[in-house]
Amino acid sequence: MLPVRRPDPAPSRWIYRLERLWLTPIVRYSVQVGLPVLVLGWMGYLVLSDKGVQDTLRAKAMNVRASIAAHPSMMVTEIKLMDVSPAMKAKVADRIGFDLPISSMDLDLGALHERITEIEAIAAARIRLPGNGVMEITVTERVPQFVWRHADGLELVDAEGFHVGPVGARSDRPDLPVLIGEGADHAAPEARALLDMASPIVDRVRALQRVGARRWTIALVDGPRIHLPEEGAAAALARVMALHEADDILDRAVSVVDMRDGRRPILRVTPDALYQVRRARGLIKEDDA
Amino acid sequence: MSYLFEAQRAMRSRREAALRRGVVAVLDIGTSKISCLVLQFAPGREAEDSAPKRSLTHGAFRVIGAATTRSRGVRAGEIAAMDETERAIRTAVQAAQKMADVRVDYVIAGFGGGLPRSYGLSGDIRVEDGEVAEPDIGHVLASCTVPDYGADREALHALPVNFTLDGRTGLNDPRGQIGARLSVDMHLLTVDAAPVHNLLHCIRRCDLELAGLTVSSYASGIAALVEDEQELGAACIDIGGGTSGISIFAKRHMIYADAVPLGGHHLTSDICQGLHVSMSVAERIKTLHGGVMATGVDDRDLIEIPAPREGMEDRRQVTRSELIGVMRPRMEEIFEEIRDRLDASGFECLPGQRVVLTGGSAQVPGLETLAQRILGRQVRVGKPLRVQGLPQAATGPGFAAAVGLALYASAPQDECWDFEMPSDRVGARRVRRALRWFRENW
Repeated sequence: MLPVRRPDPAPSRWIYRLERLWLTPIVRYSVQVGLPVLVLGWMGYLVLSDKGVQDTLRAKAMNVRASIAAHPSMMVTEIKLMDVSPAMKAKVADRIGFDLPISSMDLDLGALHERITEIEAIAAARIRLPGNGVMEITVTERVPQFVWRHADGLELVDAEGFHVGPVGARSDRPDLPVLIGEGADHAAPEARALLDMASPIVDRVRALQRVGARRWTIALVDGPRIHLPEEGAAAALARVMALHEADDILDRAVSVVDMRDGRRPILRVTPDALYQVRRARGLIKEDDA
Repeated sequence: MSYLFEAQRAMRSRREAALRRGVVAVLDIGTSKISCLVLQFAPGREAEDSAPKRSLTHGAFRVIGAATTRSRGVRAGEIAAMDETERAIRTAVQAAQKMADVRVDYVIAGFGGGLPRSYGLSGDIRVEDGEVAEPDIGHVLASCTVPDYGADREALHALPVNFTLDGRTGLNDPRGQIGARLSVDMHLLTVDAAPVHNLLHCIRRCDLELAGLTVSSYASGIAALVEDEQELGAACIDIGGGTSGISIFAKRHMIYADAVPLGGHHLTSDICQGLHVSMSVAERIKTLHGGVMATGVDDRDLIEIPAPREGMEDRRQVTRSELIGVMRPRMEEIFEEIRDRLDASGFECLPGQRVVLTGGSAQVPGLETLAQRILGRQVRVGKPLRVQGLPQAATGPGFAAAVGLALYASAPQDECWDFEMPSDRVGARRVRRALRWFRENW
C-alpha cells in the first residue's frame, strides 16, 4: 500500500483570513448587497448618461403621452362661457389663446385662469372640465360703482377702485356718482364710505373731487363745495352733516364749507350774500341811492 | 505574581467581552486531535440575573459549531512544530466557524502538557471590621505564602478552595459573615512556561485572542464528573493520546491536578513494534479490536492484518489474545503511574474515592476492570455532560476536555485574580516601576 499524497487539509493563512473576513457581518453584507447595488447603479448611470439613449427614452415617453392625450375622451371641443355679458364675452374669448379641439392634457388651466383674471373688469373666474369635451368658464364681473373722470376721459370704477371699462359719456350712466381727479380711482372705497355718510344729500352730490391725489372735495349741485381734510375725512363729513341738519348750512348762501382746519369749520359766503350783509350793516353806501 | 495577576485579569476581561458578544470558541489542543467548539451564549444573560457577575451561574449556551481535526505537531500535549500546529488549529477553527456561520475572535484553550504541578497554599489574616468584605478576601488571598515554583513556570490557576473563619471551616463564600480571623486554602496550579508561551504565540498567529487558558485534565473533570462526585471527592483520569491527566475534585473545587506523559499513542507504538505493522494499521487494529482483559474466546478470535504493501501476498493473522498481550502491560504501566500520583496526592483522605476514566483511550473495552484492579477503587468510564447542540459524534469520552472547556467558559470558578489585589502591594509595585523607568531613561 503506497502512501497516498493527500493535499494539506489546512487552509492557507490567506484563505483562513479571507474566510474570517467573509464571516464578518459588515463585510458580508456590503459584498452581498452593497456591491450588486453599486454595480447596477453604475451600469444604469452609464446607460442613462448616453445622449442617444436619453433621446430615445424621451421620444418614447412623448409618444406614449401623445397617444394618451389624443384619446377622444380627453379632448376639449367646446368652451361655454357662463354668466358673461356680451361685451365681456369677446374679451374673454380673446384671452383663451388656443384653438379647439385641444387635449385636456395639453391644457394649462392655471395659466388660462391667470390670463382671464388679468382682465381688470373680472373679479374672479372659475374653470371646470365637467366632461363630454366641454370646458365651462364662469366669470364674476366687477360691478361699476363710480364714473371716474380723468384727464383722458371717462371710466367706470368699481367699489374697490378697479377699472371696469371706459364709458362714452356721463349721460350713459346717470345712476352712478362721479369721481374726479388723479388718484380718485384708488381712493374709491373711501369715496363709497363718504357717499354712504352723505345719504341725506346724496342726490345733490354732483361729484367727488380728489385734490392733489390726497383729499376729497364734495361738489353739490346747488350748494357749497365741501373741503374735507386728508385725515379723518369721514368724521369731518359727519360734522358737516350735523351742521346741515341743525342749521341747513348747505342750503344757505355759502360757496365753500372748509373742514380742513380741524378746530372749526370755515365757511365762505358767496360774494352776493357778503354784499348784502355789508349793505345791511351800513358798511357800504348805496350806489344807486 | 503581579504580572501574572494582570495577565490573568486581561484574559478574564476578554472572556467577559466575548460573553457580552455572545460567541466564544473553545479549543482543546490534544496530542491526537484538536477539537474546536463554537458556543453561543443566550443574549441578555447579564441583564436577567442581577446577582454579581462572579457568582456561579450556569450560563445558558449552545454549541453552534463543532469541528475536529487530526492534531499535528503536538507531542505529549505540547507544541513541537509551530507551523504544523498552527495549520491544524486553523483547520479546526475554520471548519467550526463555517458550521456556526459566525466569526469567532475569542478562544478559550485547554492543553494537556506542560507538567502541571499542584501546590496547596494557605493564608491567614485578621478581619478588619468584624464583617468579611470583598477587600478582606483579596487580602487573605494575597497573604498566602507562594512557594518558589521556579522561574520557568507559570501559575495557571489559583483557586480559593476553602475558607476558614474562626475555626469554622468548609466555607465557600465567607463574604458578609461575622468573624475575626479569616484563613484560606488555595490551590495553585503551575505549568511550564515555555509550552504556554508557544501556545499563546500559536493562537495569536491564528488571529485569535485568548480569553482563557486551562489544563485539559481540569476541563475533563468538570465535564465527566457528576455533581455528587465533585462534591464528595473523585478523581478524573483523562487518558488522551500523549498524556494522561489526573484531576481530583472535592467540594466542587479542583484540589489537585497532575499529568502522566503516557497515553494512547504509546499503545499504538507498542502494537506497531509488537506486531510489526505500520503506525496507521496499528491505530486501526487498536481502535477496532483492542482490549485489555483476555478471555478464552479471544484465543480463537483471529484478526486479519493487511499486507504491508499492495500486491504482496503477505497476509497474517494474529489472535486477539496476542493483541491484548501487547496492550495490557502498557495500560498497566499507565495505571501504575497514575496510582503513584494519586497516592502522592493524598487522595485516600477524601470521603469519596471514585475514579472516572475519560479521554479517547478510555474507550478500550475492559479498561474499567483493569483500572479497578490496579487502583483498587470504584471505576467507571465517564462520558462528558450533555450540552445543548453538541453533535452526536462529539459526545464520546474523547471530547470530555472540549465539553469541559465549554462549561468552564460559561461558568468559571472564582480565582485569585477575580478579587481586587490589596492596593498597597499594587501601589508599591507601581511606584517602584515608575522609579525604575526614571532611572533607565535619565
